[in-house]
Amino acid sequence: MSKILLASICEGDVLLKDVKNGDVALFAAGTVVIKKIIDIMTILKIQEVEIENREGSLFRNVKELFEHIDKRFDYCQESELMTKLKYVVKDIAAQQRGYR
Amino acid sequence: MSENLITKDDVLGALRGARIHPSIPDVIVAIINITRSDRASLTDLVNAIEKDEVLSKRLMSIGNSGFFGKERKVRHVQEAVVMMGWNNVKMISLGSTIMKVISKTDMRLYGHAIKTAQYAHYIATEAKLYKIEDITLVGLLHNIGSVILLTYFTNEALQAKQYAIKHGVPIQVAERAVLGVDHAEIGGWTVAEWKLPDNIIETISEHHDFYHQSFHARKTAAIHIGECLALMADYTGPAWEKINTIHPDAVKKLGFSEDDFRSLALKCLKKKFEPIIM
Repeated sequence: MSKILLASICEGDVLLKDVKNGDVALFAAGTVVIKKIIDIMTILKIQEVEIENREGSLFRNVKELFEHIDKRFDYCQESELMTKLKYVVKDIAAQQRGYR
Repeated sequence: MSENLITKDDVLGALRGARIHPSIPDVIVAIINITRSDRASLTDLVNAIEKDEVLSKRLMSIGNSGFFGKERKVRHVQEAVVMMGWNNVKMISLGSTIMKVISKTDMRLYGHAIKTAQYAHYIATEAKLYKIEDITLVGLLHNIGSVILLTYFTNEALQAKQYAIKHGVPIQVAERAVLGVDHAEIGGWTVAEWKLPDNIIETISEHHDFYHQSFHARKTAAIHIGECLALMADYTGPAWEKINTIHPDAVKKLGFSEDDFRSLALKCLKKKFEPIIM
């Protein structure tokens, strides 16, 4: 996650948390930012937003890492081959991140 | 589903505009036009390349890198063109230029193209495919359709991305649902417009929808698998970016058993590759 100034946001960024104006949620988490959204936030003088990290996700522990990999693989979970490959990726990721 | 939000005519109209891409230099436009023409000669091509010092140096350095397996030193652009061939010169010129464009607009797409090229080449080598010198270039260009979408149809591309996030599907599935066409097909139209060879057009068009009876199915299988492995290797990528299923027929088409392929994939994902000269 990264909290950035509105001036740094780009079209295509994905909101990580709801953007609120007071108590009213304007744009939900998971919204892809388009020019119109940037314009609205500018008019409403919203200073900062939280977006998905552009350089890749950060993990606090191996559990978070594995949950993230599960999500990336969830469209192909019915394939036996892909399930086996998912475990290969988890092994490599855990080693690279120093969890093993 | 809204059909044909983007049509082939829309894409070709954008490509045939004043410039192929706002950031692509004139020399590349000239090379594409020369290689599309039935009347152009080798001298026309060499003259066009020599006008661009950076591209000339790049082609010479690739010619001398051993990439094409020749030991004799290349000293002139003409020698490089003769050695590499008409189509490879065009692809290297396009590949290197487009990679620069991608690196300026989307670093993740750039990294993905590099990884796909490396993995596809490794898989093709292990499968003992012949004539694989262009696999790396096809790997680099395989998502040219995404570049075209992001450049000329930004709003539509972002709508597709939103659909992918909402429905938890890979981007090409979202593109088909929202736009009526996906980046692979758009990429195929693009390289067909640039008059690249049929095997390149087919490989780019079908890299998500592997069909084992296609004419160039083995080359397509290598790109299809390379692309899936590249997504897997990028495990820190966003959770909404879904990894595509490797088609079992693609594995079979390359002559691997499932067990062999699994250990090959492990080796491939762990391998540290040499940087691609572009």
